[in-house]
Amino acid sequence: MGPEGIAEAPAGESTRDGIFVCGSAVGPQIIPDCVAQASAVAARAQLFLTGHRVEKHEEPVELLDVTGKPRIGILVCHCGINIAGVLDIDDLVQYATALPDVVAAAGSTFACSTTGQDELVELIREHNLNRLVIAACTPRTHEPIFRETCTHIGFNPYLIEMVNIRDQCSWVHTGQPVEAQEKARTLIRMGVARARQLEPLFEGEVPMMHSALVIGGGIAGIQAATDLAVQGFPVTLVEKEGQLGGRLAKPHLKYLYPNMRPATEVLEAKLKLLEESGARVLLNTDVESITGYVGNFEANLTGETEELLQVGAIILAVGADLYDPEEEYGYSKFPNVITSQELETMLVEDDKNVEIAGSRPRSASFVLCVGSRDPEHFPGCSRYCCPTAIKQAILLRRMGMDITIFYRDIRTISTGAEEMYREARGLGVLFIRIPEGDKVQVSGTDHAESVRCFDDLLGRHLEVPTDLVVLSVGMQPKQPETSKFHDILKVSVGLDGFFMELHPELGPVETPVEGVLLAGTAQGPKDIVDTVAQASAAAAKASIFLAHDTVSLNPAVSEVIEEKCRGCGTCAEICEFHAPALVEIEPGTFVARINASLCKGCGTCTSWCPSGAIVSKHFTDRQVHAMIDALFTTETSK
Amino acid sequence: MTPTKTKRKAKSGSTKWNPNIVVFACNWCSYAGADTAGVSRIQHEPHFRMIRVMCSGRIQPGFVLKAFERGADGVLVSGCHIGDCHYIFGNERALEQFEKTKNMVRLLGLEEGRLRLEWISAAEGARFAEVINDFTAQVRKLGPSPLNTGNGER
Ligand SMILES: Cc1cc2nc3c(=O)[nH]c(=O)nc-3n(C[C@H](O)[C@H](O)[C@H](O)COP(=O)(O)OP(=O)(O)OC[C@H]3O[C@@H](n4cnc5c(N)ncnc54)[C@H](O)[C@@H]3O)c2cc1C
Ligand code: SF4
Ligand code: SF4
Ligand code: FES
Repeated sequence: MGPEGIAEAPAGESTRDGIFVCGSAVGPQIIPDCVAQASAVAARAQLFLTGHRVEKHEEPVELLDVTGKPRIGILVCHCGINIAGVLDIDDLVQYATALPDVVAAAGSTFACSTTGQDELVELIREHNLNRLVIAACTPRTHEPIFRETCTHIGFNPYLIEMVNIRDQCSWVHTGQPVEAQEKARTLIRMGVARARQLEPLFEGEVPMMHSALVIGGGIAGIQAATDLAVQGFPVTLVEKEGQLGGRLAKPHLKYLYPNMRPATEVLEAKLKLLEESGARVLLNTDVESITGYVGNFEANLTGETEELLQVGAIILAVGADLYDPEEEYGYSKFPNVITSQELETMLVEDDKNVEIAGSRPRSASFVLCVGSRDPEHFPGCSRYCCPTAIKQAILLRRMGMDITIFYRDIRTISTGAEEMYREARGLGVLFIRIPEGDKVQVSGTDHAESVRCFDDLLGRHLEVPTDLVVLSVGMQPKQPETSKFHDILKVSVGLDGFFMELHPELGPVETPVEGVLLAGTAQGPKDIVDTVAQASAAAAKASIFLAHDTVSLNPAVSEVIEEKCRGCGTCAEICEFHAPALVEIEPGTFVARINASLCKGCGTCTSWCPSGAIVSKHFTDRQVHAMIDALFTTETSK
Repeated sequence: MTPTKTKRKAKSGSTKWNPNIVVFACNWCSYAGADTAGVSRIQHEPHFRMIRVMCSGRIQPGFVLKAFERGADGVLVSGCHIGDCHYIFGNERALEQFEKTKNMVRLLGLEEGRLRLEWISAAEGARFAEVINDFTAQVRKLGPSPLNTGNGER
């Protein structure tokens, strides 16, 4: 146990081999961090189980007969009070019962819980359903859950229709329950209309490559590559610089909070494990382009190593840039105004003395939140800078300097950071609070001489003489990498400019692109403890893909009805994935055919085909038209 | 909705006429943006119904025309920002389709303001809400569609 009485375990390892801790047992933390950490410890636990990996053999289930006239069942979810707090569930159930082809309707407290799933299975079995409508949250996060449950009992997963009455109804029309109820009813009516037109689809399979590519050799990439390689998956780690370690590599960081271990020591330990793991490391190598899909990606490597690499999964660990203050706070004007990174590099050179332009400063001022929590640059908190400034302040204070830290809020979320903060105060570091929206002013003639500000707590203006100003710069999305991988992999980027996870709780390291995972500061500012935990989580998630022998192909793709096709070639011309191709079926007669493993199912060709010869499965004309019709038809008679 | 009702609306500000708006959205960006508005509890006008397709490239003129023919007062076509389409090119194609659709809608005798195209990303929950509010206000100003026969849902 740590001094706070909470388990002492950075990134899940406890002081006993084979016992792991995670979540708020490690320290107070929010759900996304708990989930990332839980995946991380699962990965660590797997390392002990190497060689004992259980191949999950799924018993072939007997497929339920879904033919015949639609027999629709509806489950309306309360989602606790998330939906039921605004909408009248009983009314919706009753309303749904009266819709065409509906044979069963029921409410469910939490449809996605184990109990909810059991209710759902029961509903299907009891009423011999062949279509299912679930009025609940968004299909983007929950359809996979319901599809899986249905697959397990042999109910074709493409016969499910989700109606979004939470994210797009109860949550956004909370103050208008009457309108929200009306909207929910209509959406359910539309969902039922679509369900009546759904057709069972069957997933094809292609072999899965069991290898992975990790892009970026910082602490995140090193951790992810090690975790995967130890499990026996062939891993290639590419680093565009000449050395591994990213920000930890010399000369970037000196001591690391919370334990104040030298960065070199931590890095060496990690590199030793990486080497033992057998991962292949390629230095001075970048990734030019990537094509393919989960299980079958093809990456074009350039630089010192040039090759076409085939892998099943990809981990993006390209790190983050630091904010460049340019003219702000006299940064480019005064030689004694430096960034936290520049101070850290000076400490790497010499951690007993700091010299600026030939003289030793007797006082130093730290300015926090430079480029962070600023709507113009980065609206979020960079998370690492408060503890880093305190860490550096303690070091300088121990050299005998007078230290003042100018802050808006001190955020000590990381383990041990609050203790460091108290230590700094004990050592006489002065903390001055600046009002929200205000900035300190650094003034001087040829070098910075003082920092002026309005002290929020004292309620008056202050001028603090200083020999050195340290700007605690925030993190910024790594460029050009973020834009580049966003373009070639279609991984989403959030409003803050960093790669965006699929879902903060349900998929903190996943992206909308299956088989592509995120690790470290590439996803958003964080410190090493969180970076390492997230990297292990990404490795654990990647290994779930890699452990399979096959990848199932999305059956919701497009298909040409050859009798209708007149061989104009429009589809072949517009499809960026080169899925459709013209085939000469008899001399002079061409028809298009779509390669199902290349087609992504976007449906663009369907809307362009002048002959109406293409069907986009699961989003057919008929299904969409049925929804439009239902929207405008109020009568519910069967 | 009958023209008589419109007149009544014009007299009393309290019983506002509510339009019937159809929104076509792609799964990856604009539909996700609507979900983001939900996760952030950003309240907005409730008088629209969403139809999800995988990509805005799937939204063919026929869908929009059908919605208007059935009595929609406004139709919003939405997708990822140009360059962000999950399928690389779908929204560029959607843009071309949209131009064609606009002409056809004009031929139906409908005002241009009843049809709109917006790019909304998965992160832009607030913008989604703004677009909905703004478009609702715009359509409300135009009043019921002349093709609206009155048996549509309110
Ligand atoms: C001044 C300062 C002090 C800090 N002090 C602490 C501390 O005391 N304790 C703490 O916990 N945290 C601290 N941090 C935070 C810590 O440095 C980061 O959390 C951590 O290093 C992030 O690791 P990463 O692997 O995500 O990114 P990085 O370390 O940035 O690694 C990314 C790597 O990817 C490579 N790369 C990028 N693009 C490509 C490409 N296209 N192809 C191949 N390779 C590529 C880069 O060259 C780099 O090596 C500090 C940060 C700063 C700036
Ligand atoms: S666009 Fe339609 S008609 Fe033309 S080749 Fe493709 S499927 Fe055939
Ligand atoms: S659905 Fe999209 S990916 Fe598939 S063939 Fe048509 S245009 Fe290409
Ligand atoms: S996926 Fe959104 S426009 Fe193509």
